[in-house]
Amino acid sequence: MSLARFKQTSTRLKQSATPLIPVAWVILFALIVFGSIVGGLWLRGKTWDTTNAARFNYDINNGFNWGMRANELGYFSIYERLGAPAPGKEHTDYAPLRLGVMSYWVRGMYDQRGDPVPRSRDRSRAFHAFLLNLNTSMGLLTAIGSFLIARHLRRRDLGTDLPPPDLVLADTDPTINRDPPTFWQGTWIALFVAILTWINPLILFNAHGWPQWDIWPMPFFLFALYACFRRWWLVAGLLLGLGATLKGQILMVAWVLPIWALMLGDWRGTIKLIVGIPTGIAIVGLPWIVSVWDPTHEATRAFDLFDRTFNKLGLLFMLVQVGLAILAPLVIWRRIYPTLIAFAFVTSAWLTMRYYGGTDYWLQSAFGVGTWNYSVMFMGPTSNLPALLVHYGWNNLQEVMFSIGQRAVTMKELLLSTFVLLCLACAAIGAVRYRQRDPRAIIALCLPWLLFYAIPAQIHERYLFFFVACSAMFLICSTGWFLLAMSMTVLGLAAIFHATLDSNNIPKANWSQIPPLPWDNTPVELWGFIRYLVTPLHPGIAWGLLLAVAAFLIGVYLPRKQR
Amino acid sequence: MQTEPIHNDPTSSRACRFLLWILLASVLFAGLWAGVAWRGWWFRMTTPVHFGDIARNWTWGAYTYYNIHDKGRSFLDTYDDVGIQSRGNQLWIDYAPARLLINTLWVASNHRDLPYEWHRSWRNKATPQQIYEFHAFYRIFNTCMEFAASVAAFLLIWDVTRRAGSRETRAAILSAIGALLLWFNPAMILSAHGWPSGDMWIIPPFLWAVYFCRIERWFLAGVVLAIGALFKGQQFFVIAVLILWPLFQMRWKPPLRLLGGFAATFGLLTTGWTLTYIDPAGFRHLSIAAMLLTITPLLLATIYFVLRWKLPNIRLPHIRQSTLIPIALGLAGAAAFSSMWIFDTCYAWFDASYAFGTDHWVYMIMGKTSNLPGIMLERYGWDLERGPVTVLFTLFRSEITLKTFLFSIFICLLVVTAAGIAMHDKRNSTRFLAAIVTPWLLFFTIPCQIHERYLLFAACVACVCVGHSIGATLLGIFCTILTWLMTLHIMLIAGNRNGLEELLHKNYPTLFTGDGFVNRLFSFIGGTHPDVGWAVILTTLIFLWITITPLRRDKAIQS
Repeated sequence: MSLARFKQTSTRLKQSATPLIPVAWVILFALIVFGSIVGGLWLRGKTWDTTNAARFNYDINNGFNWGMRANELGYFSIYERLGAPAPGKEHTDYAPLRLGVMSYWVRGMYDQRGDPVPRSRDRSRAFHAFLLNLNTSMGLLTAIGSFLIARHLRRRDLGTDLPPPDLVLADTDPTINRDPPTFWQGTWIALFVAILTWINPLILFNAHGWPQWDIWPMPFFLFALYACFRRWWLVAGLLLGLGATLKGQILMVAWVLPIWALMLGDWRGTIKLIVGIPTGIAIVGLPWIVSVWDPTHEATRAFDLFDRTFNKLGLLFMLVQVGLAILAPLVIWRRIYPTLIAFAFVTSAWLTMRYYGGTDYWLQSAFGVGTWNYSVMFMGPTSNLPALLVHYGWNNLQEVMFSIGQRAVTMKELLLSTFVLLCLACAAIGAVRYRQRDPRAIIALCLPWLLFYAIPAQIHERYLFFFVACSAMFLICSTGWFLLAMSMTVLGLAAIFHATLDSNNIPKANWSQIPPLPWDNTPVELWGFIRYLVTPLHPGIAWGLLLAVAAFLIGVYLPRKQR
Repeated sequence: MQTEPIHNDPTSSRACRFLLWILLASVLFAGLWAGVAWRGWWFRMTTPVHFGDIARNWTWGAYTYYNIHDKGRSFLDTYDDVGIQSRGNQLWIDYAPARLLINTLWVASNHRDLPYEWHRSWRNKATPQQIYEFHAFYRIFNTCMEFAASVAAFLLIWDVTRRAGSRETRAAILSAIGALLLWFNPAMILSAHGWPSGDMWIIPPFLWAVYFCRIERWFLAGVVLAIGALFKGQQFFVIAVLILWPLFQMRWKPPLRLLGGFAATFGLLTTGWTLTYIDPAGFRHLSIAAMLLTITPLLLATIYFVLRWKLPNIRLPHIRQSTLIPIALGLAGAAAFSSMWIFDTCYAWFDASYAFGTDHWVYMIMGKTSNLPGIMLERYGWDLERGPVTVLFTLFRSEITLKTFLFSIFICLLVVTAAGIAMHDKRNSTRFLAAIVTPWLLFFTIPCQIHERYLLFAACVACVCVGHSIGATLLGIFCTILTWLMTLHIMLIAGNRNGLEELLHKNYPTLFTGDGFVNRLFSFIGGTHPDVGWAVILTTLIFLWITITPLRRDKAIQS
């Protein structure tokens, strides 16, 4: 009997013997998914309703402000109108896609209210509905990404993607699993992972309490990771690039994936990723590459193109180059090479931007401003290594720590180098673990997010969020790893509560001051008590964070005990 | 219990095994010699910052010795001379009998040849060499205890790894590494030869007791635990784990044996106080009633054996010697111990040794302890006496204070830990080695009134984690670093930092240029308090997790 035949027969036998079980599983699965989604939506609504005292209004005002400015100046022209970003003049650090979302949101408000340009933000839920819904969608996509990755790695760990065992051998060796893989292997734990991600309190509060948009790049990262696991390298690169135009922080970690692919021995994957990331960025930046602001015309709506003229030379150059990349291989080898097309696209876009009339203000605003905008060791109540260093008196980012030859190494560079080295270690460990079918590969590949929070300077207290959004997936490694990762949720929550409650100047309160249940609204004393609890954690709890980082690094480096 | 290896040992040939053991013995011997030399180095290098505890040790040793030598009184009288102490920080003694005995022997060995002025360099009264010689007895005793602890660590790792299925070679190497790690443990050496104190005296009894429990010598385990408790009362905090461990395995005889051994040793070694009383004139008398109560269980046991031997036809319940003797000895010890309350015999020794310590330092922490109460105190301002949460809540009409609350959490987690230890023991898992660290970590992390040095117990016991995993070993090393820092912190606060700087510069001019290294180190350590307690809490939680979760692999081995 051939293996394929055996598989078919075995599956058919199973199905005929217990016809109701697969249907029951499907129904159960669907019910759980439905219940979780409904529950998550309800939690999100409650989060918004109960956290009015803990809003961080600066960020949402800033977002609204840039949306408003884009509506005034024209979304496509705002970067050129503001010019090259520099300290001391009006500049934005909004990446194009994020600015686009904000512009669209404000535009919607205009349509809704009939106000040419709304001048003030009100605090109602309806006013923020668009952003909150987008946050919810991104949260859902993040959960789906977690599900796919967790299921993939779990099944890989179980060996379900391996060819079926030799049947003769399987007859003699009872340890060989003769059953063909089923859909459900690894599915339930992946579903649990997705639910945990969906209802993670840090994600809820960040997206619906603060509210912020740190969740936006996470689906891109997770789907990129999944694409990498499936060897869809170019897609992964494109996703990372697109994610970067929402929030540039993703680039701090995205570079680890090409290194990981290289260490897996897949140099083609590395090249595809390296090409894909800038391609994703260039796709979003295309309007500024192929068209330029025309000061003689005025845009009346955010997304009008009236005030722009096409950069004909640049457009022609790009079309020729991309056309050549499509046609040449098609004629010679009768094949199309997407990577080659992407490479042609991105190089021509870059050349157009630099030499054929395009502008790069959008690029500078998206990725350059963040590097100098807040030149301090840490931003807000961030409890990480730089915060501890400040505690010891090292508070100058530009302080020269030592010199290598003629090159002086500053504190900022030292911290960044440490981060880069540890990320390289993660890439190497991740490659080894992935080859060994060890699910701890996911820890190694998500750990750069934790390192990103723990080691470099200029980090905001919110940025632990990125790691936490990945942390539920650690459940497929072990409960211990999962719990250690979930402790970061507590840390992240403490940090952002600290920031929001400080910004609202909520008076601290003791436990005894909290009014007894039931409450009509969340009493301010509860927020005061939370502030009383979380404020002293900064920056000392960074010792715990650093130990957790060390535990993750060492734990993922050490070989897994044989089962 | 079965100790045969499961796998075939490639080094099973006699020659290979002989060579292995010769090699290990050589390494251990070299390590022993180097460790002794290193201890001397530590003592000399830390001379300017020795803590004042050693002076108190000498003071009470001298008090006792001169009582015996000059006033014709006995060793027993020190406690009764002091009486039930006030808690007002006047003259006080909190030394358990064995500790006082060691101090007295130290004074006895020194008093002829070594003048007291040699005890420290204060006002340049003594040279470093004289100080070194003055403390020789104390140092040697500490070294012997450290050696005993290392031997116990070796045996414990050997036993656990062998039962977990390790080959002889691997088990031997791991055991040697664990023993050497403990022998060279900088925290232990700093405590025993830098501070210097007798804190580590309870580590060998604990490790030996665990080893005896593993090899089913429960009575002997009780004996060594009692000896440890007679050195330092902190031993009491974890004895419960060793009693609960067999109970969780549904075995009731081992805990009885352990308790028997403990009660017999503890009760009988303290009969000098528990069976005597002091008359109004100040003379010590034997309490006949107390003595009768004490010997009654022994007499009954003797009668039972005589009857069974001489009159075999009489129907008596069959009780094995191995069961009856421990029970009789334990009951005798317990009877002697309870005589303090029944017949009002001398109690001052118990008050000084154990009761005084619980309410003497009524603070959240003692010194610069970085643990949960340390964080509560320093970061939240919670205090045992005047904090906002002195009384947390009321339970069954009794007010639960912060001290009670934290202690209750400690006790609950101790029970959980005991269950974990029992599980790993039953499964022959190497996680057992990590699990026995957890009680000491909990002891440091959770209750109030803990000294900064007490992480030492966990750090030292954690050396046996070598037999389990590298990760747990590294966490143990982390504990060692922390306790080393915390101990040194207090030494630098109270000691002569400039003197230490000069000494280091004088001996190692290239390494220590005399540019304020000690002060920088001091300020660095100061910056860690109390926040590094978060790392201690996380370490404790990780160990607790290791303790309560099984490894799937162990089940396979067990089957």
